[in-house]
Amino acid sequence: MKLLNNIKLKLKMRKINFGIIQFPGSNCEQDCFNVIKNILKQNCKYIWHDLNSFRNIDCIIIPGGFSYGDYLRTGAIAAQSKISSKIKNFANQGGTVVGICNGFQILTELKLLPGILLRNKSLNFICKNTFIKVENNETRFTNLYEHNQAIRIPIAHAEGNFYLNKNEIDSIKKNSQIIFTYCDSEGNSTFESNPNGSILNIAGLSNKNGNVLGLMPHPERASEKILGNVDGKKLFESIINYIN
Amino acid sequence: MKSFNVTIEIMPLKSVLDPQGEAIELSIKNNKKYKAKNFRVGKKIEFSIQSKNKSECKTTIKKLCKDFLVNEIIEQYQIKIEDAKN
Repeated sequence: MKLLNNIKLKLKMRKINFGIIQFPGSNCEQDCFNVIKNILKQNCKYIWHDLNSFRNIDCIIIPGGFSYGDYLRTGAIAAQSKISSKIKNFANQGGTVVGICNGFQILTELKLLPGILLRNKSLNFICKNTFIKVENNETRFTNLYEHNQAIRIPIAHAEGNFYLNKNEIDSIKKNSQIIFTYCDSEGNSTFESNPNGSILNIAGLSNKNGNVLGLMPHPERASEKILGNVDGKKLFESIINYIN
Repeated sequence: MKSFNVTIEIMPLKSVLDPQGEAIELSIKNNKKYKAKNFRVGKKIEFSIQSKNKSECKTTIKKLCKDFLVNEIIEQYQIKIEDAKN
């Protein structure tokens, strides 16, 4: 019976249309595409930065990389591109937007998310697995995770040190905008488990309305059994679950 | 329309970590050759712009800084405007 229900549920679910933005210097778009198209069997297409519009998209993903060589400030030049104003409109109308790594930096430059990502406290580019805690699982991005669950997701960045003015910290706490924090394997957000100096160990946060998420860790690099880690897959599945 | 040469000096706010400044300071301390301290590293942007007059020029540049060139969460800036020699 359970199996039958599952099949019925799957039949009811439609394929979600994902759009992945490509800027000059993006380099994680193919990883995202692979997870969405080949692992999760959803519709997915690339959207070039120079386009004036996109249609029939349920979720926009801004992938990682070094858009425009990280010149001026990370994400600053990408935020001025033609497609960025369309992303802003889409987000302001409630559309689902996820920015991963450089995508997170672009979302802060677009002012769709508060704060900014500074150079890592250690000054090093850090590429390693980290544990992050699901601080809020009542979102369209995390509804299939457990509250306070520690998941293992890799990071790879030089500018991931999240900074926010003191007067805005209370506001993001109050609105439950903190979605992921760096933690140890037991789920404790400690000083030692913070790889880059982010304020409040923040690894990912949403906007006030909860339809835009930015995160520094790469869930698309942890969504396939063959890669030895599937902890990130539920983030994409949560979005599919929410939209359906 | 007149032509103006513009220089914008951008510095990290005092309250914000300046890793480049810290790295320079650490290096200076380590080699003990100079007694210099309080390093901060910023950037300088130069460009030319056409505008009716200096005041309108300043308004446009402030908007450009706010929209693009400067992130006021972490940076402060100074604008210098000079008449361009034709």
